[in-house]
Amino acid sequence: MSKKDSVNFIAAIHEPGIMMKHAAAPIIIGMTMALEELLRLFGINQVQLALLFVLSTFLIACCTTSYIVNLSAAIINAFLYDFFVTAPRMGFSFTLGLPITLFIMLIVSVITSATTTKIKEQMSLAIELRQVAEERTQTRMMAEREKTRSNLLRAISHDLRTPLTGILSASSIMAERTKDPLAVDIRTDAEWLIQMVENLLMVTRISDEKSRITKKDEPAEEVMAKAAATVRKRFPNCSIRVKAPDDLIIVPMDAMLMSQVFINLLENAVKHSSTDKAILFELHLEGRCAYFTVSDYGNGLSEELLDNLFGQHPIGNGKPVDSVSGMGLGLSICKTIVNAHNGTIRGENKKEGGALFTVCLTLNIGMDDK
Amino acid sequence: MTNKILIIEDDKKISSYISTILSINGYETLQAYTGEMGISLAASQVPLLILLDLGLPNMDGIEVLKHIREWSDVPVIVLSSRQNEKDKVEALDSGANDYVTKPFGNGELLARIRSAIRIDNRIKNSGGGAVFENGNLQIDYEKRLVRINDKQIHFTPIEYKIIVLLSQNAGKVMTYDQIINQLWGPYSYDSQILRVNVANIRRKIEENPADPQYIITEIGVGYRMTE
Repeated sequence: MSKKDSVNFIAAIHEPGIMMKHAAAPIIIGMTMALEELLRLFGINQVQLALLFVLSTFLIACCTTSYIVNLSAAIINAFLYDFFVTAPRMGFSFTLGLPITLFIMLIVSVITSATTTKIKEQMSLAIELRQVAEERTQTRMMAEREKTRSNLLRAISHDLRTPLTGILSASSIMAERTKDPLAVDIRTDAEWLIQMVENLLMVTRISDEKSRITKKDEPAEEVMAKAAATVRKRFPNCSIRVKAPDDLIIVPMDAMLMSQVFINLLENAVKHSSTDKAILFELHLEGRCAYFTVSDYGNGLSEELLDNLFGQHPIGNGKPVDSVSGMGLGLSICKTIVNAHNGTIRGENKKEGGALFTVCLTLNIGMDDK
Repeated sequence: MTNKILIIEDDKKISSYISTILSINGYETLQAYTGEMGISLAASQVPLLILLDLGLPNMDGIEVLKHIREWSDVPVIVLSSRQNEKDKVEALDSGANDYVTKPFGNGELLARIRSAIRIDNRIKNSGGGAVFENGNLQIDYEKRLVRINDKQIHFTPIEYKIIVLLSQNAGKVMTYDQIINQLWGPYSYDSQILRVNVANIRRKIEENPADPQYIITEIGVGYRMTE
C-alpha cells in the first residue's frame, strides 16, 4: 500500500459515519459483556477481565469522537465491571475499588478520545493540504504549458515573418527600381504569404485556447470601413461600396479578427469577381442578429467549391494554386474566427449571378438597442 | 536643416532594407542596433526623425522612447509587429507620433515619414492657423464654426471639441486615451462615449459614415483626421 492508500485507510476507519459511530459504543459494550461471561466460564480471573473492560473503553473512544458517548461508555464499563466481575457478583460493591476503576476508565477514555480527535483532525488537514497542493500544481502546469505554447508561436511567427519581411522589402525595392514583372510577382506572393502566416497564427491561437476570444463592443461601421480601406490599399483599382444603417450599430467582437474575416471576403470578391461592377459590403439588422454581406457580380462559386466551401481543400488536385487554395484556406480561417464568435458564415450564388457571403453575429443580449 | 533619419532596429537585414528605401528617396540614414546605441546617436546626431522598433532585445522599445522624450520632441515612428496591439497604443501614449505595422509596404513607410515631418513642421512653425481646411471640410476656430460644402453644421460642445482636437493633430493618430484625457480628464475609462460622439460627428460631415474620408478609425488604437 502506498502512503496515500494507508492514510486513506486509517481515515476510513475513523470515519465510519455518524449513525455507525454512535451505534459502535453499545455494540462494543455488548460484545465486551458477552466476551466477559464467556471468559469467566473458562476461569479467567478478575484482573484479566479488568483489562478487557479497559480495552472496551479504549476501542469506543477510538470509534467515537463525541465526549458524551465516550464518558458515558467509560462510566458504564466501570459499573459493569464492578457489578458483574468483582465480588459480590451481580451486585455493586461500594468499596474503594469502584472509584479507582471508574477513575482509570475515565482517564483512559478521555485521553484516548482526545488523542483520536487530534489524529483525525490532523489527517483531514493533511488530506486537504495535499488536495490544495495538487490543484496548485495543476494550475501551474497549465499556465506553464500556455506560456510554452505562446512562446513557441511567437518564435515561429518571428522566424517566419523576418525572412518574409526581408523578401517583401527586397522585392519591393527591386520592383521600384527595375519595374521587372518578376520582382512584382515576388512582392505580391510575399504579401500573400505574410497575410496567410498571420491568419494561421491567429487561428492557432484561437483553437488552442478553446475558442477563447475577447469580445469588445465595436461600432460595426468602423470595422467595415477599416476592412474596405485595407483592401483598397492592396487593390487600388477595385471598387467597393460600403453601406451601413443610419443608426449606429454596436456589435461585440474582436475587431482585429473580424476585420481579417471581412478583408478575406472582400479580397476574394475582388480577385474572383473579374468584373468592374462594384462589390457591395453591407450591414443590416434583423432581430438580434447583425448580418454582414459581401456580394459581387462575378462568376460566382463553382459546384465543387460550394460542396466544401469552408473546409480544407486538398492541395495538388490539378487546379492552379492561385484560384482554389487561395480562396479555400482563407475561408476556413474565416469560419474558425466566426465560430469562435458564436456566429455563422454562409456562402452561396445569387440568382442574378455572382457570389454572396453572409456573416451573422449576435448583438448584446439585454442591452437597449437605440 | 538636417536630413538624417535614425533607424533603431536590431535586425540588421531589415535595418539595411529600410536604410536603402530611405536613401533612394533622398534621406540620409543612421543605423543603431541596440537601444543604448540609439539613444546616444539620437543625442549626438540630432536626427530629423527616428524609426524605432518596439521589439528590441535588451532595452524595451518603450523605454528608449521615454528616454528620448525626456529631452527631445523629435518625431518618432514606431515599428510594431502585428501581434502586439497593446505596444502600439502604449508607444503612442508615451510620446510616439505614429506607428507602422511590420511588414509594411515602402509606400506606407515613406508616407508616414513625410506626414510626421510635415505635422512636426506645422506645429513648430505656425502652431495652426485660424482655419482648418481639408477637402469640403472647413473648421473656423475663431468663429467656432464647422462647414461642409460651405453649409454650416451644428455641433454639440463635446463634438466640437473632438473635431477641433483631431484637426489640430491632422495626419497624426490620436489614441482613445489621449482624446478622452483631453476632453473628459484623466479619470474616465469609458471609451463608449467617445465612440458614439465620433459616430455622430461622422454622420454630420461624412457622405458615407461607413466609408469615411475625414475621420479614419485606427482599430484598437484611436482616430486620425486626414489632412
